[in-house]
Amino acid sequence: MDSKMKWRFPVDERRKAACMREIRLQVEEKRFRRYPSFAENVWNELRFQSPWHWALQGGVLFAALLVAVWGSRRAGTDSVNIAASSVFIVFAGNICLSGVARLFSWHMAELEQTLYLNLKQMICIRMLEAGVVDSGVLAILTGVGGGCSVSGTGVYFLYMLVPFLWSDVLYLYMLTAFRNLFSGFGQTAAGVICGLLALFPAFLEKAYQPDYVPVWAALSVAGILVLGVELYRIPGKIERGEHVCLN
Amino acid sequence: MEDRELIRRIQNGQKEYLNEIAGKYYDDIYYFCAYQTGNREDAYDLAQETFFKFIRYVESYRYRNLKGYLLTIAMNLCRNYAGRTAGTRIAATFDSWEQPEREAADCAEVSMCCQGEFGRLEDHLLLAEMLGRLPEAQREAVLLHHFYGYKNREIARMTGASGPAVKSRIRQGLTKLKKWLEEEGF
Repeated sequence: MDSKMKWRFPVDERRKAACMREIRLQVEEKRFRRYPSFAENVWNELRFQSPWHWALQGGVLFAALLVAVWGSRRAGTDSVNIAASSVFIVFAGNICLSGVARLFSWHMAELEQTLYLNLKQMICIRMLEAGVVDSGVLAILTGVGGGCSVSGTGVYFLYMLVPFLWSDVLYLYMLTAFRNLFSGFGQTAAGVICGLLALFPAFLEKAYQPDYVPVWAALSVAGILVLGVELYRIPGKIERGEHVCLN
Repeated sequence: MEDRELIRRIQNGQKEYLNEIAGKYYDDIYYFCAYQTGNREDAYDLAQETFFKFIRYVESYRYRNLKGYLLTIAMNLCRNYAGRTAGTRIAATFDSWEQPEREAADCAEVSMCCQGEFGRLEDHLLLAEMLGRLPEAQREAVLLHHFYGYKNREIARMTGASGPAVKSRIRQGLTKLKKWLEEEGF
């Protein structure tokens, strides 16, 4: 006999057969609930977006391309190109996250109950979509602008990453902290504040000098960590409801 | 048929394959419950309840290690059982292990094992008693590692403990078992 089987003793076959009968009954009574896959959920969410929404996303990407090409033709004016791209990336983030902001409106909980929506899932998918478009903007600006920059693509990427990350951190924070204000005027105000903050380094003489690259790197790492925490906490805030009352 | 294929078919609505999974893993789950609770009779109910729970939530199950998943359900059920029967457990334990032994003597299907293997029943009784003396966490770890062959990392995932904690539980559990079994002249 296999040594691993030595600890096995004879099973009472009658009891076992009775258990198997009960299990068969349970299987017969089983009614399957359908759980769509992640890809199906994403598709179902995206296919109900309006043509205006897609036009806006496409417009943002196209504008990113224009800004990047405009910057690449102004060779030798690195700080101006970086500042313009930083401001653009901040506004692009604001536009992309506006769809997420709408899901934090009043009475969304009623809508969720009435229409059997999964609000947490919808918000996650919309944030994913905003993140993809935002990353596309970042890639276009870095790819085109970085190639013509005297600082090199890697450093140019850091210059873009800092306003990209911190503006998204601020927007996501405002989604829950100042939810009532974050629509219409509030959203524009948030965009303007972030734009001014992104423009601020351009007024510092040495901000885009090689000596300050470690500072940009540190700000990027901190931004990644804070954004990660913010993204992790948002679904929890919706679930628990103590910070976000959707009704 | 491979477990992954069974799960795929079940999740596509072919629920009859749930019976195949129950048939395939019933014994493994039963033995685990029997040694974990120290009660052979209640282990049938716990094994059955394990499959009921699996059947209830099978749609949301993401295939990884089916037997490990079933053992994890069984482990949680055994923990609840231990909480429920904390005061009465020791008394029930020995009765339930001796009873089938007495029945075995009369039972035709088991009688052939009685000729050369009656001593094995005593060994099982002793082993169950010694395992029953171990703290629950150590018993789980020893069972999964030595009886089911799971690695420390897998046990850590199943029990929710850290890798070093699992290693320590196995070592301490085995040391105690060895000492107690030697005292009994095993």
